[in-house]
Amino acid sequence: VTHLVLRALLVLSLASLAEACVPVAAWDRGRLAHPEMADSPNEQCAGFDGHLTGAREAALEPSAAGGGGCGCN
Amino acid sequence: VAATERGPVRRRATRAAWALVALALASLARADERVAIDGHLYLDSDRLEVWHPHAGVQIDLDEELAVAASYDADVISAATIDVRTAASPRGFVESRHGLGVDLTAAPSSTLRYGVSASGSFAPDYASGTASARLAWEDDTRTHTVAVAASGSYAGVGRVGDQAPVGDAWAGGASVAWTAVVSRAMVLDLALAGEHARGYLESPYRFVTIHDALDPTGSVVVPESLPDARTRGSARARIRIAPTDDLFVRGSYRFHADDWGVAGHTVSVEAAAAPVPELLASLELRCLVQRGASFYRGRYETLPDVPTLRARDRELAPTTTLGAALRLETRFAGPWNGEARLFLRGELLYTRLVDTPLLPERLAGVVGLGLSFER
Repeated sequence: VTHLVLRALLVLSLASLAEACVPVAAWDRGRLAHPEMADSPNEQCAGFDGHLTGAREAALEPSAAGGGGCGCN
Repeated sequence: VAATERGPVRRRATRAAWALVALALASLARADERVAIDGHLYLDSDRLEVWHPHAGVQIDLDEELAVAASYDADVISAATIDVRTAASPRGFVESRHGLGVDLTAAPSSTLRYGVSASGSFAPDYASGTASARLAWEDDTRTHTVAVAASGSYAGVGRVGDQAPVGDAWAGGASVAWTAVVSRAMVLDLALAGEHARGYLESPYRFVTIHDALDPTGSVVVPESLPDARTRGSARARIRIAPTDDLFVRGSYRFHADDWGVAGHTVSVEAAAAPVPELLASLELRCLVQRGASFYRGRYETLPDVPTLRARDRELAPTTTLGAALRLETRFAGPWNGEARLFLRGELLYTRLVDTPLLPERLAGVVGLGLSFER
């Protein structure tokens, strides 16, 4: 029952979040377009980090990547 | 396999660095869109040194199609506690080479997909990976959904053996949802799963089985792990730009597998750009992990030898703390483009629980990279 309640809360939270997102005009995306707001701000470091953690940790890192929100996907 | 000496490592590293510089300059002369070269040096208290050079080139074939290629290597000098107690008392120097190609298509402003392939080759190991990905953005550019799938094969052996000891296959998929919450905030959620099957042990790792009643009685047998492993992870992340020159990101990740490993990772990064040409960032990271159900620091089961026995410390209960500092500068170049130079330093402290020979490990990483873009 606890798991069902938690899942329901999670789904409701995600639905609320999706609804709360406000479309941002292209001319208002200056901060979102900064390289530091990208999915991976430094791809050269990210490549090595993935290599290192892949060898040193048992965790699996999600590989699918969305955009940075700048409208430059 | 040679004895561990600093001379051979330096010579190999120098040759690899010159090869990368030549590749980068040749690519730049061919009017490429982006060229990147970088190198990372990893050192830890378990006497492991890794020099990791990397070079990558990306070319826009036209407005919709881009192709990329990359090369990386690991020049490894290891005299770790595992090597000293099981494989070679003197350690070894070894190189791994990796190649990758990638093709990305963007048929519209809101749709992008691509495929990639990579290979990794070492004297005792060869692997290949193929993957495909797709990302779709809605018309208001508020939501992005991305999916990716990959498959890989690895042949594992020992240096000097005629044939591989075993091979392993793995298939995985992940999905991510990114949402623009406001003009200064982005949220994303990602899920990933992977199933691996085959020889998942290391042929170099051996486990000592002790007799609980006789302190002098013991046998040494090869590590033995299950032939299949399914693991997954979920990550939530937030990126915020409270001002035009300050950027903060935080993430939480949960990971688990059917061997009993489960863990939590939290990371926070803050970056400041006091002037447009300069950026400094500090990242803090903490990983806490429960070990595999069959992992023991010491097996005392003689005369019985357990079917599953692990020496891999990454399957032990661990806590890792990390701090990374990155400095980055951007400047215009005479080729009508931009250059970016970064310097990065990182410290990683790992507390390994139930690992008598190596209770903790301190590692340092230094990275330096340069990229040209136009």
